[in-house]
Amino acid sequence: MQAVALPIDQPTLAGIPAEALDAMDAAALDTLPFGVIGLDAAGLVDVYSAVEARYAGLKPETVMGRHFFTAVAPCMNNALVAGRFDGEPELDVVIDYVLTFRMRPTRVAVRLIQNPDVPRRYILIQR
Amino acid sequence: MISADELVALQAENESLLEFLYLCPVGLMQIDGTGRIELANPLSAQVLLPIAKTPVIENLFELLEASAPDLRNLVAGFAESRGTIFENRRIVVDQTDAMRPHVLACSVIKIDDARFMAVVSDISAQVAQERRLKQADAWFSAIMTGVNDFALLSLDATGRINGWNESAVRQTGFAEREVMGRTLNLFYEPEDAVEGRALEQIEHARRDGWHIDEGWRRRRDGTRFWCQSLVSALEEERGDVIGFSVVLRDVTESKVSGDELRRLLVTDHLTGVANRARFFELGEAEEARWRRFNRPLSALMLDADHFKRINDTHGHAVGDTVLKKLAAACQNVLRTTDVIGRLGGEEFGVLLPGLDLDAAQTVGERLRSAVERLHVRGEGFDVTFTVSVGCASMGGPVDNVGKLLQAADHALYAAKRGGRNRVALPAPAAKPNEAA
Repeated sequence: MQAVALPIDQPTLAGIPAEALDAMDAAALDTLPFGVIGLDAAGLVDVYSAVEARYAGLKPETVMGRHFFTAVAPCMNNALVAGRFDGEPELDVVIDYVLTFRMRPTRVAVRLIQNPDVPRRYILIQR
Repeated sequence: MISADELVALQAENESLLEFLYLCPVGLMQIDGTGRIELANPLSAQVLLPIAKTPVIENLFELLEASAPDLRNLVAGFAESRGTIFENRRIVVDQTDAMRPHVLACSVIKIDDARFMAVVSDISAQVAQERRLKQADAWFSAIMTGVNDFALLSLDATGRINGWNESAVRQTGFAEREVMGRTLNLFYEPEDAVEGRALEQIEHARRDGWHIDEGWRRRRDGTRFWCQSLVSALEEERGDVIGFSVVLRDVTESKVSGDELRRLLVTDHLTGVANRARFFELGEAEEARWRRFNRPLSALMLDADHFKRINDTHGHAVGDTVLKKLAAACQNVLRTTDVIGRLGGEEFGVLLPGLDLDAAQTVGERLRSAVERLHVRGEGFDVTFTVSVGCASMGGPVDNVGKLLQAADHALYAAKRGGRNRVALPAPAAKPNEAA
């Protein structure tokens, strides 16, 4: 574990600070109670947590390195998600959304994080 | 017992299937008979989410209720046990936000009583492109082909003239102060104007982005010209129609050469009235008008009485002359907007837009008496002849042109049975306004 002050309680989707998230390693991200997807500057997946893999039914090794909005989740390639990353250099919002996990439309909370100080963009998903 | 290897293979297969569905570029859903979404791929949510007021995608029919309220009925009313209920039906979605999709294409296929497959895709971009292409085509042909003259004018969103210029003055003879605030009805022959054709053209343009029509139009001095009119909708970015631009082309000269070809294709060679194919084509158009404008539509069926006897007694040449004179006499009685066609040997159909059954009966009586006065004379003979006429009107169970003509045909047989040379109405039970 790195020297990051995590809250004692289980971190929540809305509560966890972006810096704390960015400092966590893959094993730590896998313990979070929501799915975490990290995208590099080119939009390629470089973080894909175990929870997200379970939600979506896709293995991290299948998804890593792919362009997220075109080759993994075209369902978020719209103004509500991808468009906000493109249009807002500084972004940290939680939106109500519907994702389709294993063919069932499911209402989810999605947090979008884009921060000039953090090179990675994050998408957090809670069912 | 499943082996570890098999399990790994199954997992890999499952993952590829999921990926396949995640990446599928159209929305695929399995719904039940009430529209409840049982299974859906992500693109379905992508397409439907912008329509949903809240981020809940549970019922396809409810989601599309505002823009396509008849989906539920179409699915419920589908009598077959399986099959395509509709395919690529265009659904224009309510647009209160420029970001929202404008048009969806939707297909529903029945698998069994409990399962339906639905396919949805957003075709807004395609529809916009089609509109642009159609407009470009229309303008291109307007510019490229022979034009005596053309007038440009503009209409407001309700179809009233709000822009008038020199080209329009030159072509129509009307001055600006005489036309501002009027509708295109001003240029129609009085009978056509009653038919609501100018209004119809505006409605088409509002729906499809443009509309092209051809017909006689009037100048201020009462002379007429054969006019091609192009009405295109002027849209704001959000898709609201804010007005129309109109081109009126005087193509009277090119009509004269084009007319000959057209005439050969659509008319009955002997009598000059519409041929059977053309009659039914025009019938469909009248049916569409009847639906849209909620005005009466009636039909007559005419049959020359004892025609075989005339042929047998005097020969086919006389028989042909009888049919020609009969058709010409009818055309003299009918308005330009009525449609008369030769449907069989000595049988003619007439469509009477805007007329109810009483008025149709009056027209039928006029036709009957006009024919009764005709003579075909030759060496040593003077043939007179009569027609029997059946009338019918749209309404009640008679809700398409096929049924209308069938009803008129039944009445025609009543006229024959009643002694010929008479006009008959549908039997009371089948009379539309008395039907249950």
